Amino acid sequence: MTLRRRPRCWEDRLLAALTWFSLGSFLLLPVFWPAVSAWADGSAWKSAIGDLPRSLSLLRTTLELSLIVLTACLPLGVLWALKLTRYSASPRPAVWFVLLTGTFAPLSLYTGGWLSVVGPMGWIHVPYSTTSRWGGMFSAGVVHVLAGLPWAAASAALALRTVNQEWEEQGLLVAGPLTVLTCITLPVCIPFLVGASIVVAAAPLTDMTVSDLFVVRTFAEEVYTQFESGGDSKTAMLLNLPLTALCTAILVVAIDQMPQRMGETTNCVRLKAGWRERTLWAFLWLAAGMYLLPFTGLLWQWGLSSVKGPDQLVGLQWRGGIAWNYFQQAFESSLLHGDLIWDFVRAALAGALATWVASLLAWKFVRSGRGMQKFGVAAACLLFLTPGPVIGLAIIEIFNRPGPLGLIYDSMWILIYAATVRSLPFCLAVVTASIARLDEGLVDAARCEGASEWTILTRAVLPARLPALCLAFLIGAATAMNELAISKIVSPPGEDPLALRTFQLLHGGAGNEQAAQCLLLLLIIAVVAVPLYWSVRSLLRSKA
Amino acid sequence: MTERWRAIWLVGLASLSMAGIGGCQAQSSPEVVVYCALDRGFSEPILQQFERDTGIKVKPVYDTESTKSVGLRERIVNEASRPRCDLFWNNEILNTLRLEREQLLAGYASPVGNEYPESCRSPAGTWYGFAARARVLIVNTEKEPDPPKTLEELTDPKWRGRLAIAKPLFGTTATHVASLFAIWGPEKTKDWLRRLKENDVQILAGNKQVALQVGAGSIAMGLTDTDDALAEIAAGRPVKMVFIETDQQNPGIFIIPNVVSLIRGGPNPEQAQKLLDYLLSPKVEERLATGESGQIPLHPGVQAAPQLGTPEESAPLPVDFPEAFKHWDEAMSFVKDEFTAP
Repeated sequence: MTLRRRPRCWEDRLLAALTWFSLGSFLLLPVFWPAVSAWADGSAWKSAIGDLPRSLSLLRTTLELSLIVLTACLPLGVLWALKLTRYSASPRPAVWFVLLTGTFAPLSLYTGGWLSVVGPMGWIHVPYSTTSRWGGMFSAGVVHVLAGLPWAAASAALALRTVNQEWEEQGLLVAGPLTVLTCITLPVCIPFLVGASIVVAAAPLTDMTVSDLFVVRTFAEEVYTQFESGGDSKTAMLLNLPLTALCTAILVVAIDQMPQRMGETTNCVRLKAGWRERTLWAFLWLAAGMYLLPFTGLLWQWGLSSVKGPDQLVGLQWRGGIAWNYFQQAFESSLLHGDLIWDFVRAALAGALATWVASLLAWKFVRSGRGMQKFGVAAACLLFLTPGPVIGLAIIEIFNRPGPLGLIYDSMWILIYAATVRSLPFCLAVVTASIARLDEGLVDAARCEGASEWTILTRAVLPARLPALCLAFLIGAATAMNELAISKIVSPPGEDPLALRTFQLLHGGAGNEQAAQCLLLLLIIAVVAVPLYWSVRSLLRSKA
Repeated sequence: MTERWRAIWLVGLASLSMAGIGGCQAQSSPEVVVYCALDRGFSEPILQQFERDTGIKVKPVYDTESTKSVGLRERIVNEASRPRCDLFWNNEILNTLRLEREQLLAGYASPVGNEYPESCRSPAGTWYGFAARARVLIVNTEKEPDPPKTLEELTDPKWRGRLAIAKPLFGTTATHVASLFAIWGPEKTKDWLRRLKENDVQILAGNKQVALQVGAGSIAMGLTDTDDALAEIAAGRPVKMVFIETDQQNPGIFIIPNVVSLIRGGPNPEQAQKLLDYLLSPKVEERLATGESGQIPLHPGVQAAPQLGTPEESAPLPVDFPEAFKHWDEAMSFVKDEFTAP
């Protein structure tokens, strides 16, 4: 849809000003500020060139971790998506609910779960070695795979919904389901799958939660370590730029190649599962069962108590009373100190802000020419793929100064800003896809009635896109609830986000308190996943 | 409902947002901002008790295990032009000395602080040391019945792959390394670190992880702090603490005090002074000594002592911390190249 008009009244000018302000402050500043400041730093260049072995080592580790995650997540994700969209997958709502919960569960939760299984206090004893090449990499890989699989499955499921039903039906007249899948369905989805690959591989690229704990030296970890140790963080940011730029380019090209029907409802072809498929499903359920490991680990750790002899530990025992006490303690302390309430407030504000900014930007991009649209996509992809610590450093450089910016920096609004920035790419994707499918007649009719751009957006466009806005809000709130990589650096005194607290507890090893915090976090995410599921469902079922 | 009303709505919304920002800044009650490197589990109850005793709200920022003390020090440096921290409760000393060199600390003649021995405080009143911990070798008794007695022995090939340390860029491990530069000299320390690396030393995220892995039996032994080792002993794990000495020429236990200091230009100086006096008070030292962290009191008036099982013949190793601090940059630069590069 390409609708153009000129600003004509103060409302339109205000809308234009707000849009440009949002574009600059939420989309461009957090990514271009660090890129430009690192690029312009002569000494950073000198250090980067002079320390090539370190750069190559970081690149190798980052790519290895990303590759592990991709290799495991993508095939499994596609198979799960096929099962969900082409075969019967009862109980389908329950599977989607679990998928959405898994998608928005933070890395620290998966890490806590994994440590409960194989960590020093876990129920499977694993000899630990950081000197072997795959020491920490194995655990980091497992955690990222657990976190990435729901993303891969959800992305692939969305992709499979865009395939033309008629093509598949015609294909089925002359060939079997497997041939149709490999020759018709999957080739159509290639751009989506490339995009999904980047999305899944982005976590090892941008997050330092896992790499910090398991001492895996990725680019994001390097930026974080350099910053925290007072080292040369500009060099680390510079070193990271080529990889981020490359991934951004691939993602932009993939998005460009995607059909314009993403998210539209198509009645998917339903295939009948033969014995081969049934065998495959059994394998898939087995793979899904690996989620039971960390979950059970957390449950086990939650109520664990030591049975001590006269000198030393003689055994371990699970006690319901202890589990309940820790959960109550975690919940009450969060409520008493208001930390949990403030977590909700911050997440809701960040979700609302991200949705509003995404609406403004989406409206701008949809009405703009192709060049501006591509620029918007590229900026959003770059924002998505920029490591959290890099954005954190940019926020410090921008906000930590006297005046109004300093006031924001010292308040909880800096956490809201950080969370908004982190969730903006997701919200933008949802809202843009939805607004782009809007009936032009609606806008034209409003315009004929003399409505201003502001009125058209707020009275016609956004109300017509309410399910997408709800979805964007929920995604924004869930992302905000889990944001850690930036909050860890910019969190002001007295602010104690649950994700950060869980991360701090993780460093103390998996224990009762940490398990209780993780389970509380999981409960919150599960509660958010219910409306999220209904939003996705109603959005996918709605006609443009 | 016209343009005027919409404008009023928008202005109202903007005002509310600004009020929200301002409201977060408004101080309805006295408060103090603390950057605290001591483990949250040990420091939080003390800060909460201070809140209850004085009515002053404490806004803390705690450290994570993997970036201990250095991360908070960097925060203070980054905020130097607009400080928001009032008091820095460091769990070691060298990063406080680095802040003193950069003139980021405020002098304060604490009446309680002056009761401490001279070696525990700065002449200018910029920092006060209290409640110390020792660097120890935690040993899993089932894995290693005959552990080494000195740091020098750790490079012996018979301990290959059996020792763990925390990332030597942060926390007390970094302090320990920089102090070795002062005790042994840079060349000998560098050589020792290289041999340690060649001996497949395991680098973990923090001292706590070292203690946990040894307690679990995944690693035979590790260098850590007394509080982390005590937690494993209290949990009934098959471990013991060895008060490891540097070498034959430098006998004695390596002890690192907690250090409190006020930040120059901090927003709440009066409340910060009250908190500093409170933290240095004998009752806090007693609480830290008798609590789970078993910290060694430095105030002459404190009677309580932790049950550390210290060998009777061992005395604290005299460490020239100001000299160690001079070696900080060289030590950390070496560690970065040696332990964070390929």
